[in-house]
Amino acid sequence: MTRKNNDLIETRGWWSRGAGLLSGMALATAMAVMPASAQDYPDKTVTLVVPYNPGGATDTIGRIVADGLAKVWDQSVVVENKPGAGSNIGAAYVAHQPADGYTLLVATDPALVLNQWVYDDLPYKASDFDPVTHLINVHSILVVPPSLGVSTLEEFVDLMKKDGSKYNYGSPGVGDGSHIGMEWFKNEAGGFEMTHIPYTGMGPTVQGMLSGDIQALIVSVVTAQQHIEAGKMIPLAVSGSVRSPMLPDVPTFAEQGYPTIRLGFSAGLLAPAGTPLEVRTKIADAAREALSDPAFREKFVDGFGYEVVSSSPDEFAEFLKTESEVARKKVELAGAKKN
Amino acid sequence: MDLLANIMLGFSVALTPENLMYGFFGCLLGTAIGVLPGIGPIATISLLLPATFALPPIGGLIMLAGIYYGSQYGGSTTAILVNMPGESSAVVTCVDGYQMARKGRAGAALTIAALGSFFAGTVATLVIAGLATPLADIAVRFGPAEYTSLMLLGLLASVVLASGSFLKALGMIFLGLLLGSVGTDVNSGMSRYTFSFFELAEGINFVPLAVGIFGITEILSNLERRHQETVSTQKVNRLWLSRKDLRQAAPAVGRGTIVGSILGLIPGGGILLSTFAAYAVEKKISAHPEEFGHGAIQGVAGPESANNAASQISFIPMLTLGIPPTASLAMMMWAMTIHGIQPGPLVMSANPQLFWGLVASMWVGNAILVVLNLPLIGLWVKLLQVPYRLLFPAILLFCGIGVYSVNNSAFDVFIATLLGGFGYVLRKLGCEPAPFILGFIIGPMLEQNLRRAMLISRGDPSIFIERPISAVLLSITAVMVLLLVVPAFRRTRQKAFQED
Repeated sequence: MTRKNNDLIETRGWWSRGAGLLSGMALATAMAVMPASAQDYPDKTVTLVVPYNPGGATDTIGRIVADGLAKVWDQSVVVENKPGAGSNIGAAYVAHQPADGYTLLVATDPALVLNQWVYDDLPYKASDFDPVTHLINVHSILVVPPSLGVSTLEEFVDLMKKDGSKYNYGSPGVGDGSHIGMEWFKNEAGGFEMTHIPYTGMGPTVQGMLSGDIQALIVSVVTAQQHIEAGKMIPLAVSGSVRSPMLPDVPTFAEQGYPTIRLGFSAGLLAPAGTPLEVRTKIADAAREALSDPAFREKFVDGFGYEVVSSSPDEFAEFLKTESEVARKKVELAGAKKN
Repeated sequence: MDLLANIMLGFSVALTPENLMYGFFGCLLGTAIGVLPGIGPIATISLLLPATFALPPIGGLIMLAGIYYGSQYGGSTTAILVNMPGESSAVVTCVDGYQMARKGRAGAALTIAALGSFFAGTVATLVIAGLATPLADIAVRFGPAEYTSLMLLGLLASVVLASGSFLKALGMIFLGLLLGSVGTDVNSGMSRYTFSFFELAEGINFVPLAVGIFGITEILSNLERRHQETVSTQKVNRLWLSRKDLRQAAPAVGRGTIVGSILGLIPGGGILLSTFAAYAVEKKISAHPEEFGHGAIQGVAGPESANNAASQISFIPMLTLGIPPTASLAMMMWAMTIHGIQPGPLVMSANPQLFWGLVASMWVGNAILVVLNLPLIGLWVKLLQVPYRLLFPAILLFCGIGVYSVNNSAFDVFIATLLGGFGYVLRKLGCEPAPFILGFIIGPMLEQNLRRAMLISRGDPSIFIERPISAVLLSITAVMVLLLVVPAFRRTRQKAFQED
């Protein structure tokens, strides 16, 4: 029993997968020469590889999409977690699967655009993937503790330009979106000093703000919301083109003169390079249908503030092309290169 | 009275027949999978977690609580029966629990683990119900400086876990520290000792390490002496506790509960520290410290109670601050988010029914666990009577599955195998694994917090004495070091640590 978790709730998982495995092995060889037929897709279990542990934003997105696709197709879709090395283990695994649309990567910023600039030596290349669909954007918020005495983004920037070297900001780790985003903002705001304190994971980072060790943090809206309502954190700006439905009083970065700042992360599906466009379009269409489900919207769009994108493979490719160039600059600015 | 009303509200939610049934199935599944050697709580919870998403929120949470306790207890069961800790907090249980099993007292060890945990869980539930809010404010004061001092103290205290040579224990701690430094450097993002293996980017995982050093090493040693007696051929004595056992274990349960309730408040490391702090306390105050490491029942009762009290208390920082203390609780927290409880300072007022229902269901989970497991202990113990030549391939198989399933990674299986051989060499040299594994767990936490504290203070070490909590912890550490170097203490220590 491997951890193909969904078997426990999938109604048709166990048997069809046993049979699927056999036919899969036979098919795998045939797939190399014969393009998958888009009409028949999917005629066996589809696997979504999540490059993180169960429990967490990417895993949740993967599971929602898997359940949605399973309903649309009436075919079982399972989630397989392959965590490690900031998405790289899972991404390398998918890159080397057959390009038939039956193994897809649930990719977030690290796998989508960042890692190619962060790591010197990756076990895969960006060209090992074909884009399928840009699923959603998850937005972040810049928060400060009440003790800092600022209540707007402008006051914050003024204070940091004057006295920034006295203050710290935290992140869940070097090269994380929260770290890179803050360095990006520091640069966009005209440059100020502020010391980066890397933690390990968002839990301890939030604790760092509550205990007064850090004076600024970029964090997901979901995580920050209760601390904001309890008065323990002061929100300065949210990312995204519109305000978060969870915090309608907090202005966006764009409203306050920083239109280029894109924080938080995007989530999308990637397929191994060579997957036929018809198959990828079919997946993108099914994902769009799944993400427009009212129950999903109520819980994750209204509740968690997720922004649904649901783009086509071509639109997603265009997005990745621009974002990849932005990512290169951001990684350079943050000095987040690893080797 | 508010407290009483809250508890009543909680139980009115938790005790409906439907929710009781969810709790029961959670415990049953958690135990059934958690008891497989090598499959620890993390793998068990991640395996069963998605199954709860389909349930109504409170039912799903109650089932989760059952799964959590079931898998924890399952982890202790394998620690006692086959010397394999499922999670870091069960490492200490291996030390005396497994020795009890080898002496044919597995039943007593399992019984006291279950009863001690139940008692500790009951006390901790009451503490949460009464004091959650003020205690959360204390938890938040632990910054990098405080953690650094605490970890230093913990490292020193882990010497107590060794029953053999002091020098070897020290050597093992340092070896553990070294192995713990494998992975990505937190401040610079550079790789250390990864030899270009991406699989090592986040360091060596605990599960393959524990399965290798404890489990596989144990199998190798058992096979070596297979013509002599092994665990499985030992005659199993009575399952229930004797009067003497109860007299020895009951106070240990009480002390363990107190230790666990205090240390459990510290998010990140508190649960683990509580288990060997409780062990250290028991060993220090015992009239027969030489029995520790050779099957002392207090050595199981204290840490197991502390573990359960601390796991329960650690729900306070988790629920009120949103800071999960362990990997398994991080998954629990995420499941709560999915079920609509976003842990944070407002969860108690915004969602009283769910919050108190969850608190009550923790206690119900504990109770179901005892009811479920006391009759099963006989069955677990019987497993030891299976001839070892049949038992060990099964254990090895489950080890392989368990190690693989944590990250779905074959690399981890290689690591476990390699470390199994390494552990065998260590055993041949008379070195004990417990201080090693604690060095491995504490090392990275110590390093990260030290460097974080130095970043915050801009390189000024006085931060450690300017902060009151840190200063107190450092003073205790200094006193312990002084005692170690004072010759008079040295004689008592040798009396206490050396084998008879």
